[in-house]
Amino acid sequence: MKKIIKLFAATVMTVCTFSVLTACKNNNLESEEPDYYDPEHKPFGRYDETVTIKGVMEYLPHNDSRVPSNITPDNQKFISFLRDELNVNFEYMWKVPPQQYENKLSGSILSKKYPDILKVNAAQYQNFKEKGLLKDLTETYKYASPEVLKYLNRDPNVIESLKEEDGKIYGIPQYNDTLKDVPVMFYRKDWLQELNLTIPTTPEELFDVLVEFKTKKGANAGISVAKDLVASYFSLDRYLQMFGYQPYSWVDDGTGNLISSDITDEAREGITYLKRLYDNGLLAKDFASTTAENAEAQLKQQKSGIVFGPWWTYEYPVGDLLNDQDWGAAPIPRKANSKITLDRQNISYYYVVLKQCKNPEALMKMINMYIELDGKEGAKPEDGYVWSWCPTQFNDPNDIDETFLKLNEQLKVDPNAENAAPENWTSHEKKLWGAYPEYLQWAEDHGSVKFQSNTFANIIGRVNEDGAWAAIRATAQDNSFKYNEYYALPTDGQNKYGGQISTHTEVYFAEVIAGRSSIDDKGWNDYVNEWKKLGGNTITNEVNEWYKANNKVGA
Amino acid sequence: MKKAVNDERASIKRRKKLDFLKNQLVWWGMLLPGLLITIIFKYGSMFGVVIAFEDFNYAAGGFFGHEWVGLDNFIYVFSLKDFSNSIVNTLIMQAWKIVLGIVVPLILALLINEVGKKWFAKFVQTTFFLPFFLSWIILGGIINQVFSYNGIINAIGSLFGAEKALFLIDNRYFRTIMIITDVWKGMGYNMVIFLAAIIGIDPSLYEAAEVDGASRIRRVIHITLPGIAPMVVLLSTLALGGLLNGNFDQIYILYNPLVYETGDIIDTFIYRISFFGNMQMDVGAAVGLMKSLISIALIGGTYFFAYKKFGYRIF
Repeated sequence: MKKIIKLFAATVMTVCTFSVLTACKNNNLESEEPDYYDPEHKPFGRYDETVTIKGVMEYLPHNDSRVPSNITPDNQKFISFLRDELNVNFEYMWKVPPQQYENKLSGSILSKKYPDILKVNAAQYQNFKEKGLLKDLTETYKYASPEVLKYLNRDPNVIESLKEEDGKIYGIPQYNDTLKDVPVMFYRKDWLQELNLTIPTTPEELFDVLVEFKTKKGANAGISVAKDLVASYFSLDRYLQMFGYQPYSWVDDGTGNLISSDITDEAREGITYLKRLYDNGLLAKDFASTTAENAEAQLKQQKSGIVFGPWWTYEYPVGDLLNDQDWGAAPIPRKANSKITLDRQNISYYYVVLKQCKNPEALMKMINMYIELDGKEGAKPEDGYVWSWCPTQFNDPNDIDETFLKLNEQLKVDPNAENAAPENWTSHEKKLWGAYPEYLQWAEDHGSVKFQSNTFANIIGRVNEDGAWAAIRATAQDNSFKYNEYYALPTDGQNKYGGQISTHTEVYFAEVIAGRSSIDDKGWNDYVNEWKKLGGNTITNEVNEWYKANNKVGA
Repeated sequence: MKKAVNDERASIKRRKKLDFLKNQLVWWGMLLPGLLITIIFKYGSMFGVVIAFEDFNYAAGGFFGHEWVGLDNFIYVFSLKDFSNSIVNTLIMQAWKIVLGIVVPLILALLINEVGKKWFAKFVQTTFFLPFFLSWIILGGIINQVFSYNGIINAIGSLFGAEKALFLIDNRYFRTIMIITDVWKGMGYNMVIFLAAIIGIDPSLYEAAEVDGASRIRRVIHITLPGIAPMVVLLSTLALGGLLNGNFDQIYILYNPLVYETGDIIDTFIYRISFFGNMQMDVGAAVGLMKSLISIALIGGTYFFAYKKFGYRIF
């Protein structure tokens, strides 16, 4: 009897193993031309016959307590809207946590189990395109709703740069307003007033203010370098922008050629300035081992009077410190005639349609739907609508600027936000508007209302006319930008030598600031020569070759 | 008659053979799934090393269809400035970590074993074991604070008039701190293994030695140490395999550009080099393969040495 059981167990296990191993069957689909054509290109045109679209999902829980508990990514409201309004049956082929996503996706591609629509990064976009896996979306673009079209054309150069030589276009980019990369100076307004100082506008004035803060308040600047120059929200690069230097960018040298920003005079000037701060005790002694967390703690301990950060610094890490510290925002000080370096474009990801899909236009319709539903009746979290689970999330690249403009326009006629917000605003804008009266109360007397970090900090940073976004708008006013002209994928040389070269740069800069290397003519020239020798010359040639062939924008 | 006996014997033999086969078949059948899984997921995935010899592009996927470049990836790695530096750093730090990682727990285990009060021994054991469970992310933050310019070490130092030191950005201290903290974090684990080995020693040996008038120290030298020697050899042998495996988590969290000179190990170096542009997985695979081959040689060598010299069989 025992033996029979053993034999049975062994057989069952063997069969199970084999069935798992053979379960991976191949359902390769041949590519075909679209078999749907709507001469009017209706953005919300309903299909006569149900169209099935397959996607994949990087799954994260939504953490929204208002969403009913029985809601899953498959039965959430957006999916049923697609079915009811467009007659699109959307299915997820698989859902995995973010850390498994890349593996799962390459597995799918390898075994030719293609989803219909997909969100990809720049390198994947390039590779899928080269392998001929992507569908031409020229026709699909015609289905964009007026709203989506407006978003796509915020920067017409982005779409233009995606067009192939034959005019075809293989992706729908989600990009961002490059103004979001402009650094902002955050300063202790209360200290400035107490010490009777003015907001610094040049590096020299900043130096004087820092000396005052250091001697009278025991603070340093609040600068940290974590692992590399551009790593975190307290990183060095924003301070270097005072002199017009952004690490690892490629700028026009004035003769139509590109040169690495890391070996320009601006870089040298910026580093020399930081060394001066360090020598005068205005930079933390152990700045090179200060992590973002340490720097954040310094804010709490009142050890930082000035921080250069991104536009969202009010939301984090300043946040509810605003209850007992008064932080102001202003454009960063700039050396006369220097220009801040920005990227030409900032594309987060691309939506693509895989070759075998017969209804590429469904992607655009789904994006239209996502924009259309935002904040609408019936599409609230309570209804089972989870925006973070939508397969075609799409945002206005200029969302922050729009919020700033819309709310300030409205505040002119309704300064206390007594009336309801206009119907066509986004749900986020309506939320801020709804919280505005309470915010005013808090601004009047901090003790009267509890600080709401998810709305008050947003209002201070994004809406107020002395807030962070207003500071960026002020920075943008006087022709104050130049551009990182290289925005393609890394060149072969960059892949090969980039890591070494950036290490060389980091080490030299950190050593100069800490006083272990010299930045006199000899020291600097040695650094530049070594930079070139390590592969810098090769990369410069490659980048310039690309620039000559692709310089469709600017110049 | 004889024939009948012979027949009888043969049939018994056959039956036995059949029984044996039947029995074996069941066991082999039960082994099969495990074997298959090992072959497919352990040996099968080893096939991935081919990318070490290719100009591999991860986004293009697959092991095939990439240009075959032979040993180019290996040559490229060795051509990199600072690669040799990272090898030297790895060897120095790992050698110290391996030696201290055996010696310190051994001493602790011997000491704890001699403690009379059981509750105290348990308390100390738990305390020493605790850091083993914490990740380097957490410990990194703590160590960063402790050794920072305004940290507790400097505070204690200045009580005795010492000048404040920048421990984590000073090439004179960095390596030492990495070795000490790594040994401290891991010592509890080996200590428990040694303690378990000590408990396994036959108590009658101690009793006999006591009767013969051996002192406590004599007993440790002549009974405890020889008793756990196989365990010490085993752990040292296994540790030697990791001679080239620096502790990536620890170094990556705690190092910075100012201490690359003494702190950069092979893993962090390759990480920095590979992840700058497109991920250079081919280079990473080349280094990984190289490290594995050296590790196999090291483990094999020490195994052979331990067997020949001391007659210890590890497996």
